[in-house]
Amino acid sequence: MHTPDFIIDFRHQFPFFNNQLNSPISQAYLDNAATTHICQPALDSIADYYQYHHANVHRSSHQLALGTSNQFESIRQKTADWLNAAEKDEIVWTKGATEAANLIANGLCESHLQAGDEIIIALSEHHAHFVTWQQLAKKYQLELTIAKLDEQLRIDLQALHTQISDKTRVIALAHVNNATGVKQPVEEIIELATNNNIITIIDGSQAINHMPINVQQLACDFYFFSAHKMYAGTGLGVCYGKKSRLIALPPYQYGGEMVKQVSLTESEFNQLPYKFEAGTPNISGVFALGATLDFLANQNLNKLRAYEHKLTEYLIEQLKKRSAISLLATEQLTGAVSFIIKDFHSADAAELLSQMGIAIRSGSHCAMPLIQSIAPGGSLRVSIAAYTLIEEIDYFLSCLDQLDDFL
Amino acid sequence: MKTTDFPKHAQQFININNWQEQYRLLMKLGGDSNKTSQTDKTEKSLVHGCESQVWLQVNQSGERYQFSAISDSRIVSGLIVLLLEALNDKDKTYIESFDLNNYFEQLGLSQQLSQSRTKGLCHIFEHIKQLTTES
Repeated sequence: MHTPDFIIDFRHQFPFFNNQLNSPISQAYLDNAATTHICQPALDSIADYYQYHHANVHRSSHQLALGTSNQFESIRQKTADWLNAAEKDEIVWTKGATEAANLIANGLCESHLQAGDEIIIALSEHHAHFVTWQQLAKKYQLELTIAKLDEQLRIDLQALHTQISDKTRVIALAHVNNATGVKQPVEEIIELATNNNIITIIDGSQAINHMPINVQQLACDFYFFSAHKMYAGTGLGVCYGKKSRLIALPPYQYGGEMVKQVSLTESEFNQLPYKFEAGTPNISGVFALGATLDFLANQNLNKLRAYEHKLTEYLIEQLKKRSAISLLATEQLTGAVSFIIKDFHSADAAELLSQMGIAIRSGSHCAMPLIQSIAPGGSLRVSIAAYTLIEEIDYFLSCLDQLDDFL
Repeated sequence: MKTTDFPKHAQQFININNWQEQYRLLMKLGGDSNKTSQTDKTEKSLVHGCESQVWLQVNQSGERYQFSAISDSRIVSGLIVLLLEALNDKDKTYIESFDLNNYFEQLGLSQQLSQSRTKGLCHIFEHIKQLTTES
């Protein structure tokens, strides 16, 4: 099998790969769930912003600042459109997915939740979501219920039905799990939650780069992700919230631009979404995301995603052929495959593979509760993007087969 | 430490000049050590703060110390073999003044190891020094 030409063309838009010789392949970047490489248009837009448009947003009224503010807000609209949010004010910029998780959880604890209320979270959550709710549950005396997983590490819907009680207020879960690559049945869970008046918070960090996201169709209350997981830059998170939910949340941080009126004793807070955006935001990061969305809008995304799917299937099939390898899950895998190798500690395998030029993640992938229960020595995670070559997967597999020589 | 002063396995390691053989040796040393070591894997002997799990025990006879340690990672167990053969049968003064970074540099390990591995080994060494002050 060879990588099709349209993928090679797509890959050419990522400057990181320009320094790599295509043949023979001696390295493979397969850690896209940790972060994707930045696309050229995003990189150009960062330089362009600092060179020609650098001004603070929503403060000064000079021409430069107005132009930059307008551009900044047009990207908010573009992001809302990308997610099919009802309006642009439902998009809050954060510094990343983790800050978004904290903003929502803290806000709900202060405004909506009472001692004794229940939060349901999955065993498989990333620490960004899991630890946040675990710690806030302690602070606010909430009950934390752990949603059970089935054999394929998907949330057990039948069990979830029985876990929901009249005290359940929030269900927090990832669309796609970062440690396993498993896509969760979020549609069914959101429907179930909504019927029971339960708020849903979806961590979309591992989904955003692999599938179209339609927040109105999903009908979740909150959805968040990091821009650097979808070919843009680090330091920017997107936090979507239904307007009514965001209005009900108190501010997360205090400072400039999030206030309307300030006296010596009182402050009146700004409207949505600014009340959540204290201080100067990551303007260049927003510009980079805008350029990325324009770039992606000009791609045939269905074709790219079909290729990703084929690549994942190929990887699963090849790994299954190797008797020493056990996959943590084999169904509904999206962008990542997680596995263990018999007789190998995950850190040892990753270190040897790293010496051969393979970039993958090993360990517990910021999901200790799950990984320690199913793979105490940690797992290896291969994660792809649309620019990943079939030849990179083949090179990785050939390196994997060399590990035996070290035993 | 002069080149001729290196303990057996460390000397063996220095004589190798490609990473494949170096790692093969580390994996072998670690594997053998994990099979033969008498180290108890208990909560008390667990060294916290390492990427992989490490268990460490100490025995003292007179002025001299005997350490035994293993890890669930064979590479780490192998590195521990190299570390302990430089520290075993030595007294407190020697152990306290031992220059870990210099030792690994002379072995040619510094360039090869990831920062988290180096940090983990420093952590084990700090733990060893602490055990000698406690006993």
